[in-house]
Amino acid sequence: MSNLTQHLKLLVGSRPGLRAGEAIAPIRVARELAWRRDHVAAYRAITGLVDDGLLPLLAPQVMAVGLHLEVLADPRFPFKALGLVHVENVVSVERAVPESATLRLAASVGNARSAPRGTLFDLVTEASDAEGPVGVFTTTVLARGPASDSPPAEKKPDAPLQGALVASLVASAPEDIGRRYAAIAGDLNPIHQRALMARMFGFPRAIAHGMWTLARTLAETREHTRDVKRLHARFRKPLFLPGRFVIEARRRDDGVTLSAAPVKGGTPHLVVDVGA
Amino acid sequence: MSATHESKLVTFVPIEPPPAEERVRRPMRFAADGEKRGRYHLPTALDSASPVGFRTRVNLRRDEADAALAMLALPRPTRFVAGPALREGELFDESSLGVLVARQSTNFRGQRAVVLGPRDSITAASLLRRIGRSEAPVLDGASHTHVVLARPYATPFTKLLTFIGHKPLANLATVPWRAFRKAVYRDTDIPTIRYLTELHLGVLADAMERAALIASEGRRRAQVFLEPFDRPKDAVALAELEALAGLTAAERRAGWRVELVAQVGYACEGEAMALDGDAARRLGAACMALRSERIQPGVNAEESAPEPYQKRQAMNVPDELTTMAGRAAYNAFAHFLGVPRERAKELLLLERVDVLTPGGKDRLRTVRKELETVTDRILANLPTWADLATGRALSRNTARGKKAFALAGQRIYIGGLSRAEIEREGKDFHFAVRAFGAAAARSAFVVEVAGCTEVPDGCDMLAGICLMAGPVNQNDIGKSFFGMRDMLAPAYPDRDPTALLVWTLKAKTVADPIGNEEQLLNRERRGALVDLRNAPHEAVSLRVGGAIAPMRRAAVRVNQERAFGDVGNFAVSEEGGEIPGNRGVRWPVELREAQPWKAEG
Repeated sequence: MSNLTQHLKLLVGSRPGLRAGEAIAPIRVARELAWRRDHVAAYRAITGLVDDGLLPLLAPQVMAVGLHLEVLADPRFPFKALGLVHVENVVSVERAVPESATLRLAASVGNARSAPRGTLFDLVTEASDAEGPVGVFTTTVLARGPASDSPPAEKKPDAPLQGALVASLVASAPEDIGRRYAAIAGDLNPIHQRALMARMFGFPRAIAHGMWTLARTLAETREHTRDVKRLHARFRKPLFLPGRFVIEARRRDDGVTLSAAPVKGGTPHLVVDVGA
Repeated sequence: MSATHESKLVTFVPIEPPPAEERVRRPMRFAADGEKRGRYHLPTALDSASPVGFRTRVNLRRDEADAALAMLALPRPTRFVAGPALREGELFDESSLGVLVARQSTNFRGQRAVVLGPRDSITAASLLRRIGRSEAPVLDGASHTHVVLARPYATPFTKLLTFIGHKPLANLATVPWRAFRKAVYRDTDIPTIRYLTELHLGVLADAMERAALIASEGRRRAQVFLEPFDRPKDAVALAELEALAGLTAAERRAGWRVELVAQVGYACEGEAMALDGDAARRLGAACMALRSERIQPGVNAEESAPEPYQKRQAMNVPDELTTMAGRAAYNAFAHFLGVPRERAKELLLLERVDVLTPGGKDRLRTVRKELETVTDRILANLPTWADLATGRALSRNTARGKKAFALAGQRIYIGGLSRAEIEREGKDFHFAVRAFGAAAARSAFVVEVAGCTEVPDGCDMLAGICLMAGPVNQNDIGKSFFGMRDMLAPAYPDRDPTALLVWTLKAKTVADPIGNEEQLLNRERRGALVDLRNAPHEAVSLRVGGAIAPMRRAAVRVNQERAFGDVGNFAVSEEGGEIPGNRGVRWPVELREAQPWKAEG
């Protein structure tokens, strides 16, 4: 089933949501997938990654977009897919694989919990090949809705990121990057496409895909993240298109903190803790 | 090369720091929330693919200064030998110290380079021989060759010149006529505008020699051919060289021409330089931090400038340092023009006009008055119709131009050449102007190195220099349109001099405001100066396998590496806050370590 069909399925039907304490029904889909060389090249070109002959770190999760859509389109899934907010990503990889590797990808959903602005849940992608597990990619998503019973957390000013600054540069996110990335990743969410479409969902302009911003940040800081096996990315604020943003890397004792932030300062778009 | 051409050794001259209580440095702070940001605040961010960035001077050790100055007296290389294949990162470093860093009096993107690999360098050497080079032998075995293309100098200032020097009423016809001639025939309004292109090529030539040495830790040397290519012995060979550099017909129409070629190769025994890796990195970083210094504290700072700029400091540019700077200038002039060093000393016309010279104060006053008279006459003669049509922009900018020729410094020299004497020497005058540019750059480097060596705590530097073309251009307007004399005429009344540049040397501990640098680096602040800090992909191309491609551009990615950034001399606030985007990030190691011409064998 094409991603476009899946996207259309997401638009129809009502969803009941979750009651407090209720779990999401177990939904799991799996498939064997591989990217063609030209597809990997296109992904590298749009994110700025170097051709090292290996499948890019985030590629398995991007390859699994179709599976994610299937999960979200499943009638048992309790939330409307449109309006879901990608808030975190945890990546844990066992080993690098060749760019032409065929992966068995399994996507599942679970771990629903209350949050100040709705319900959080995890969309987990497990990747493996003939030699065994390759990695696990956990996407945490916010389904906006009635606030939880707990009082809303007090908004604290952003604490400065820790560590010695080892890289700092300004990168650009062109107006069409959402459409170009969607063509490669298959994520056709309208908020990434055009300003007009994004406005229908309450955004003043189209916003960059979080996974593009993350990949772009990793690409530019490759000097410091080359052999990364584990990372925890928090998507803090949308990056409106077109836009420019500051990518920085700070070295800590136990790893590296990356950030993608507005040029004028303020809440970062993205903060990534990269483990050793 | 005969003994008469031999350069004299340039040695380090220490500069006495001022008393401890007078040691001040540039205030380094970001504008507070709600505070209006000015040129004395740190920039909010750096969005640039240039290798330069906002840098602070590297405090050199004495042995590092000696190594830097030793480069200023080297004879030309006599041959190249085989060596390891060039890595991309080395070429980036070399280009960063060459065509990508145009720091002195070069506020125009008028140069770019196409770099040829070893195989194309063989072809280039053969073409150079056919074209004919008088200044030095063409060498075999180059590891790579920079073919530098340049175009005529053209900025808002040169546009403004179109309106200068016309008679009332007649200007309705003469202004468009001159504009037409400028557009079609590349005429210049005043001769010194054409000379700017030549001077800049000389500045680059001098930088390229050092660039090859520093980027290779002393193992590679550059053979730079600076003589104009406009009268080739074999025009077909020149056309072939242009084709090799990918010069298109459209670019030719825009005025681009092959103007300089630098062969680079591994030096043979006895011609390499002992330069250890750490010293080379620090010298490279030091070179990336050198800037024109316009402010003499307590003399010409704005009223609004912070306190460190307002007080005079008890320190001077030592006479011995000016002697060494002069020595370096003669070295470079003789070296690039191919004349005996003693003859170079006769041909270079230098007049010292500072307050420390006997009668210097009066002379300086006269120079200032003459330049102001030119401005007044320009303003009086500007075509009213054009000035009104541009909202008085012409008169405003003319008046503002006074700043460009404010002569402030402890040692001030006016330099120039006599066209007749150069031609009697059998040399092309434009070639001599190029060599003059190299001489000026090399002498400036002596002062700059001394100014950042053994710098005590609490100081940015100990001395700086500004090479100024503005006063000379202003004088040239007076000469061309108002019957005035050349600036050098009082000092050289019988030699028909042409002034070309003014040096202003300043002993001081506080560097010019970072806002001056921001004008060069921040595309949002194009204005008085032009954004001239080229990115590698904008000014350097590599010819590989017959195809010419920009350096360090790959899809969404362009260079973000600051050359020699590993030395860490980045401008930070007093609290240690960094300018976002300033530090950059190294180009991926796979690409940096790659050998661009590996496939060519």
